Amino acid sequence: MLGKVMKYDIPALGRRLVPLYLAWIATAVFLGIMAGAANMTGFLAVLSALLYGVVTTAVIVMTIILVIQRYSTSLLGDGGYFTNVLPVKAGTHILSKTLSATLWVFISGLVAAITGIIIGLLDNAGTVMDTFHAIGYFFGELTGQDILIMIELIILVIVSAAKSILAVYTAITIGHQSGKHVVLSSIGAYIGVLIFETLIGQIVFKAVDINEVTINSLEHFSDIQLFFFGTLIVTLAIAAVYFFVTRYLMTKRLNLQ
Amino acid sequence: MARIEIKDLTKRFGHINAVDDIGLELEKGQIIGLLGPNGSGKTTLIKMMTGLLTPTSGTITINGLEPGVETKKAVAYLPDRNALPDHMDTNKLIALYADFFDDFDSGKARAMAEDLGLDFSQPMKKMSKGTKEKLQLILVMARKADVYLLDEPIGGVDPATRDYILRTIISNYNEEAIVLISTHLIADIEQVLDDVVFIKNGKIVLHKTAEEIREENACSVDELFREVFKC
Repeated sequence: MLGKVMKYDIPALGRRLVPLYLAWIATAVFLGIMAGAANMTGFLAVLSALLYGVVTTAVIVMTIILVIQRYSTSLLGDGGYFTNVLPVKAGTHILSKTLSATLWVFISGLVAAITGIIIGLLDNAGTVMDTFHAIGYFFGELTGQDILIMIELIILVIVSAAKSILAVYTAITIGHQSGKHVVLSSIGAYIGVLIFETLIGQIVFKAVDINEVTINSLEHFSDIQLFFFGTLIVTLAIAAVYFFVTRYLMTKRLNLQ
Repeated sequence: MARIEIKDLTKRFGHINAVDDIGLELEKGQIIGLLGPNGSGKTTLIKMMTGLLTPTSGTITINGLEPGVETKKAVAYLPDRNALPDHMDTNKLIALYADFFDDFDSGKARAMAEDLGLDFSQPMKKMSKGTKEKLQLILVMARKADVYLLDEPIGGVDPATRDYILRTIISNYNEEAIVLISTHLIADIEQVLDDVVFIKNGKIVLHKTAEEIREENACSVDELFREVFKC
């Protein structure tokens, strides 16, 4: 059933985001060409940089807005009158929305990297091969352990993004319990959620005796692995708390008015 | 065991009891009118049957089960608003229903939409209000459900559309099912009702068959409604 729900959740966000991605890439090409033309002081160059900045901001803001909007309208707004009468468990809806949103946040990050590469390549069109050589050299120098750490870092970023999305969903669902002043209540609930997360972080850090100094001085591979898995487990545990709280409210306390 | 059993059901919003200690048993094979003026608790009661609202106290069972995934398989619900993704066209909406409801008959939905002359590739947001309501009803009635909950299906549409909606309900519901229609437009719906429930200020004030009302009160359901709910 999760696959069926995701089949509709993934395109629901993509429908709005993909055109923005295309605009983002187009402005990156424009900026890259203008920057490469060696007249960065010209009007077009300034305009292209401005356009790229505006579209970049728009994509970031729209990604956040759409993730929030998709959840609140399709589950707790008018769309909820259809979504919540489907023979689907509340947990499946929440998981589908979280995974779909995380996927689009990840794709937004990838497109950001692609626009950066486009600008870099077009700006230094004469030295494209040099750039590829430099990238090849960088990866060639990496050890197996370095690659593993990079992969772990990516996993941690994705899991943290999913946890943050669940935090927002939890806050929105708590906010809807008030019936009135839903937006204000959701913002209040989000502040509460952030305080909860900070407190948990502090308690865990204190319990395992980790602070900023020890994090910055992590050198041994085994220490880094310990830190990675510790952080991953804590992040997953917080995400699980958000998931179960949201599922409880959607199952036992749903009140669509 | 009645198909729908409601016991001591209350729903409170703040200090107001929108539904106030209701008890009701509804049997299969009937078209039931849930009749009451605006704000009487009709929508609140239906929403509790679908699981969209959580009761303050009391219980509802459908086929012996409290509202949940299993009852949602057996209940076809038409809300009092457009809840479908309005960027989708008729083709996509039929596919959406077929994906989630095992009892949905795509062929039947397609035939009904063709009879209506619908443009299958027109997004719902570009349809007129009446067409949207008809399409939603088609999708709901193309299910072979045990319970149909239709919240104000004829509210706000022209008389021709009203006739179409009533014909669609009568000709498509299966005889083992319950069709519960909430409305305050009694005259239009009276001829199709087997059973009548009057609801006033969140309380059930009358539950009789349409035939009993006509025989015992020597008046139509509409006339009795006007008498009970006169201002």
